[in-house]
Amino acid sequence: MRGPLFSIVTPVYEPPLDVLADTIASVLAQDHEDWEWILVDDCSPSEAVRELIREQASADPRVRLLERGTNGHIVAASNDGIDAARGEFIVLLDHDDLLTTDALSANALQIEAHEDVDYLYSDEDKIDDEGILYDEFAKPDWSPERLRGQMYTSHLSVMRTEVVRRVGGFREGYDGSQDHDLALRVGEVARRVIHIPRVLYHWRAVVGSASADINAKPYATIAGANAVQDHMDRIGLAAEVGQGPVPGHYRITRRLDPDVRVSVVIPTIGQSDLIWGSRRVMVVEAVRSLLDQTAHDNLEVVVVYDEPTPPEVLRELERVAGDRLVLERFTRPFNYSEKMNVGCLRATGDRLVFLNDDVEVISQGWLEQLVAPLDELDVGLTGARLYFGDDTVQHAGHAYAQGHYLHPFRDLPRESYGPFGALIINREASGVTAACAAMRRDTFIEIGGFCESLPANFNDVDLCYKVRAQGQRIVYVASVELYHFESRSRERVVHDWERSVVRGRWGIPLEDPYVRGLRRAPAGRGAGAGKGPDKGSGKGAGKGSGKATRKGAAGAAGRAVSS
Amino acid sequence: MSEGTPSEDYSGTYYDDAHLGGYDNYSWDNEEWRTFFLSLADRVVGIVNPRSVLDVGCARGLFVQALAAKGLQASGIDISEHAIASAHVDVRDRLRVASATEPFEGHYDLVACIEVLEHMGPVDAQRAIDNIAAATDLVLFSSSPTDHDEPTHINTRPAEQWAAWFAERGFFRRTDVDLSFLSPWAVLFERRELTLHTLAHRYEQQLAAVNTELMEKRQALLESHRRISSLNQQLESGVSKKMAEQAAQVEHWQAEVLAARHQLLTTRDHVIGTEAQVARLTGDEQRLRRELAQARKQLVNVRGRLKETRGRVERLTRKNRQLAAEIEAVRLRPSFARRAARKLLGGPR
Repeated sequence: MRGPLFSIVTPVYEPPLDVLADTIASVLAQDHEDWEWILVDDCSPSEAVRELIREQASADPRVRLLERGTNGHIVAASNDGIDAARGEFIVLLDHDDLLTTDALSANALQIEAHEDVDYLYSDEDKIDDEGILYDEFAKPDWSPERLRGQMYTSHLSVMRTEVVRRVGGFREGYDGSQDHDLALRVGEVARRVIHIPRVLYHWRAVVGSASADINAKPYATIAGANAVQDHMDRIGLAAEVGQGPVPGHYRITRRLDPDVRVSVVIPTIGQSDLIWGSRRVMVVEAVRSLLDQTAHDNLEVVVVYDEPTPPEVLRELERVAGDRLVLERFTRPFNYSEKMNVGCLRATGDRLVFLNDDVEVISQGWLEQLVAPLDELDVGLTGARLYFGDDTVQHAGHAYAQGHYLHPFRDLPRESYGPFGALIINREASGVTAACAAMRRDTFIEIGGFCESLPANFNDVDLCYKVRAQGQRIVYVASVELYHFESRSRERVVHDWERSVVRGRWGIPLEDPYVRGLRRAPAGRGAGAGKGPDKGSGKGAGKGSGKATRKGAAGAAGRAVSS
Repeated sequence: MSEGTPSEDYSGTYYDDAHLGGYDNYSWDNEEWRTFFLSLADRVVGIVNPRSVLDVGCARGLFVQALAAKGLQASGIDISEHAIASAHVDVRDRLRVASATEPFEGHYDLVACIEVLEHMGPVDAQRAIDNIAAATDLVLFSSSPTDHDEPTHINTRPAEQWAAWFAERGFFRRTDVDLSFLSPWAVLFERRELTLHTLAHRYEQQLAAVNTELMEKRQALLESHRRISSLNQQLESGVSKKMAEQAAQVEHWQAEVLAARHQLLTTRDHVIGTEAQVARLTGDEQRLRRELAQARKQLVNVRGRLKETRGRVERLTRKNRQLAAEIEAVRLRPSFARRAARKLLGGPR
């Protein structure tokens, strides 16, 4: 196959010869012919490395060796390769990794279909000494927020040469995370970014390389945090970037403008429940904890209460929230969507926070972190990390796949990082639960609020579909943590007609664009095929493992969304 | 005289510009002044019918002239040379410049002293009263108890003060005469020997009338206040009722607005949902059409293959039949071996 000319750029420094030979073989085996390969030798001590490459160059004129006079490290060597590139696209290949045979042709197909594409990335896995493939990373579609939390796009990254040169190529001072830095800068200006959901790259876990153990290169994570901080500063988002709990994962702490008025809307009927052995009025503790855990003053709490709510509960709420409390009586038959719509219309804030009454806020600054990402106008909705009372994950974003609406990370332990760090970094999601979510008021009005034809289930799923139909992203915010005392064993009746309403509008979901490789939890199901009633089955395969990068997304099991 | 007001104080300016109720041109030729004094003369004639009258402080003699016009023996004195000099020619002879502090010649049925003594110092005023008392038994008296703005009013006194001073000289108010058409405080004093009984009776009569009036007016005032208060209350309750109504109306409107916004929101959701459904159905339709077209193409192919296969089947069937016929023919013919054997063995068994 012929098409755009690809310039494969590979900085070379002292690879084992057999490994380099494998890499060379994987490039020569490409079923796409229009490529050139610029190997930049960064003063490898062994002459044999250069000899092997020269040999290839004499056999195939598409292979070129650039020999650096001094050792400049990876940034300088890579930039030499970019300078020498004659192709329309740069392909970044490390000297010990492998391309699949169709790596270039798969990219060429997408480039042919989308002439405005500036950046393409694809899935990857790892290969060990025995040639065994493992740890496949089935990546999400283009997720700018996730790219701030981790360098998830490499490998294989293919970038338009003109764009790479325009943003200045690799930058000195970001060694070890230079590819992350470049991806952030290319991502900022790219007209279109395409994700090819196929493994085109085998990452070799050679001892000392980043894929084997990122702890071997601590300077890389510092450079990575700096790269993300630079990115936030460049695009004018007030935030502080810090290290996450795992190397290579970054925590974004945003600043919320104190002048932004926020309305937290809570529907309730004022019920009490037994939590950790003591009885509490759920809504009172929800309001108390939400106020305790935020420093944002420009705040109102709109409580929409059904008529049976005991008056002493309302008085207690007044005592807890003072003049920030707005009480709205709801007299019609129960309809979650209608209650929320009434509350949101009554609210005076520029930002709306939807909150269930059976929650307790855990993390300080939750409101600020939940609301601030909405300053990016293409973010339409944000959601939180919710735990059951027994410290297992209840929610970390929805996924809509295989005809179902799922909580993909349900039942993982609270301290789990999730597959590829999915629980500990902010990232795009198909949806988030309205048990704790935030939205700009104008977006809420534009999309028509909650669908009142869905009084009990899937109203948040429909809301999320509507947000994304507007071309807006939905962002899961890892640092916003709450307990959600939803009864795990409660049999919630989900009717077929409810699912039909959502499917009627949005069709049957097949593959989730952000959480891929999902399989439906084989849990026993009620008549409505709603939520699995027993917690024993359907646990995520990755559960319990502490190492974020060792988990396959394919291991994520879904539990149905019904609230 | 230092305490009084001399002639110079009553020049043309005094009469024509600054004084006397603001009427211009204080003269007999002025119709309004003339009418006023003629009418006053009529009243005086009607009440006391005097033959001779002296007007003390007569100014330009307009009252004298009016009395003369009614056929009375009238004369006047005034301290203002200007006033006398500028008097109408028909009355000039009846007037002369003189001070009321000097005794008057002769005796008169009536002495008028209208708005004069307040212009004189207290001592001069007493002398003037003495002179008036000496010249008549009947006094038409008026002296403004207020009007302190007028600069030449150097001796304003309340009415009872003048009455007391006249009483010292044996003069008492004629309570049967009401001179309020001249001024509110005008009074007709008459020298009479009165018993204390009569005097007390006269004044009690006046006092009783005034008291009655006062009581009635107080009562009326109280009733007015009560009425005002009740009206105020009505007004207030009306206003607060109105306000409550308006507040309820506002609340009602707010609820309506909220309901309308809610309606708009759900309508939007419905529109968006329907649009999504249309898009989904369109997509489904396109996919189904593609699948249908594909299936049709496959059907055409299958039909072609079927036809072809049928042809082949036909051909093969024909061939089969032919071969079967041949086999049958062969079978019907005895085999070579059999024929040879028959020959050798000599016929069939």
